[in-house]
This record gives sequence, structure tokens and C-alpha cells, in this order.
Amino acid sequence: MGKKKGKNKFSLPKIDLKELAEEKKRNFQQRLEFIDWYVNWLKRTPNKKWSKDQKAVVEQF
Amino acid sequence: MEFSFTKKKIILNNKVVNRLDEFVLTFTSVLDRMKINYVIVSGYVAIVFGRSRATEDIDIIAEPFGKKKFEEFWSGLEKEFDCINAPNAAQAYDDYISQNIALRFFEKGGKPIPNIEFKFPKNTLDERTLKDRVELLLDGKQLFVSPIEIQIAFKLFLGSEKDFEDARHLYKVFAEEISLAELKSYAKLLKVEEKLGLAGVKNG
Repeated sequence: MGKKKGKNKFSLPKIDLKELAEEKKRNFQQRLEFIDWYVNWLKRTPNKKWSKDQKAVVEQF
Repeated sequence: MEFSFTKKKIILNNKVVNRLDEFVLTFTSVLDRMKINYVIVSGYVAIVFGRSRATEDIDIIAEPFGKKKFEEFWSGLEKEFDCINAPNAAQAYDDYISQNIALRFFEKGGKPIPNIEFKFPKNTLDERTLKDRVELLLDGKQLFVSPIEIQIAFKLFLGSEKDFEDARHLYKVFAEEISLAELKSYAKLLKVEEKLGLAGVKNG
């Protein structure tokens, strides 16, 4: 199949870097809020239970 | 999470031991046999206290010792660990550990991740961390970890999002037990006072 000139030409999308930076900041803030929520859960959860759940994540490698 | 906390000892019972804990305990058992003082720092400290994430390496700082003892230590490790950056004890000691370059050890015949990053103290903060290490008992199995106050401040100093999250996890877990004054002092020393809020310290 021959290539058609001018077709599938690579182009970059227009982005708003300020908007991306704000999204990154919001995402980080949400992760910190999740840690607060997770630690609250951790504190009321018996060691045997949270560590069993954690094992699956820690042993990913 | 139930634990008992004093400045020098934390007891955590009924924790389901994972492969990472086993890996660390196997390595530290060689250090214990050789009577080498050590302290575990960085990510594993957050993980052992419940942070739910994987890690590539476990950082261990050991009290410096000479080449002869290092050769015995290497022999003790050889059965269960391979070294990533040196093929033998002499090279590991001369070219790495005695030059303040960390050695990396991984499970013999296994994957290079996770690995132990093993080093001697590189600065006065490492020395203090070693001196003030905290005994951690996991159902009677002994480990030594960094004081929580130092660990939180140092994570804020390291400064990646993952480090801030580790710092926040540790602070939230131990907020009622640790010394806020000490945490603030270490944060001041490392010039990260303005980041204490990221760890969750009120008016930090």
C-alpha cells in the first residue's frame, strides 16, 4: 500500500499548561486527603486485617 | 492498628508478615549475628506501619566497620543474597562501602527488586538517626528503624510527591505519640518548616 502525502500528519494538541499544573496540584491534594482517610481506617482496623490487605499491594514485585 | 509506642521501642503484634518484611528480616538477621548496629530508613519505615505501596529498595545505614569484619559479613550474606554492584568482598569494601557508595543486595537467584541499599553514615543526620534508632518488634522479631520525627522531616526534605505522602502517612499514624517539638526542630534543621503542613501538622 502506497503512502498518501499529507495524510496522518503528526500534530500536537493545544494544551493549557496552567490548567495542567492546577490539575496536578488538585490530584496531589486528593491523594493527601486519601492518606488521611486511609490512616483513619487503618487506626480502627485490627493489625491482622489491614496487614493482610496490604500484603497484596506490597508483594506486587 | 494497635501498637505500643515509647521513644525507644515500638511493638506491633499480629501483623501478617509479607515477603518484603521477610526479605528485610533475612538481611537484618545477618547484621544481628555479626553484632552490627544498623537502622532502616526511608520508604520501608512508612510501609511497615501500614502505608500501602510497593518499593524498589530498602535503605539500611550501618555503623562503620573494617574490612576484615566486612569480609565475614559478606560471607554471611552470600548464602542468601547477591550483590548488584560488586563481585566480591574486597571490591565491595574498597570501591564502594569504604568510599561512601552504597551496595545493593537482592535475593540470591531472584529478581533485583526489591533490593537492600546498604551504606555507612554519610553525614551527621545519618549518624544521629543511627544513634537514636528505635527498636521495632514485629511479634517479637526485632528490627531497628529511624526515629519517626527524623523520618517525617527527612521525607519532607527529599520532596517528591511520594515522599510527602510517606511523611503524611507517618505523621497521621503517630501524631499522638511523637514529639512535635522534635519534629519541628528537625524540620527547621532541614529547612522544611513550611512543608510541615503537607505532613498534616496543624499550623505547620
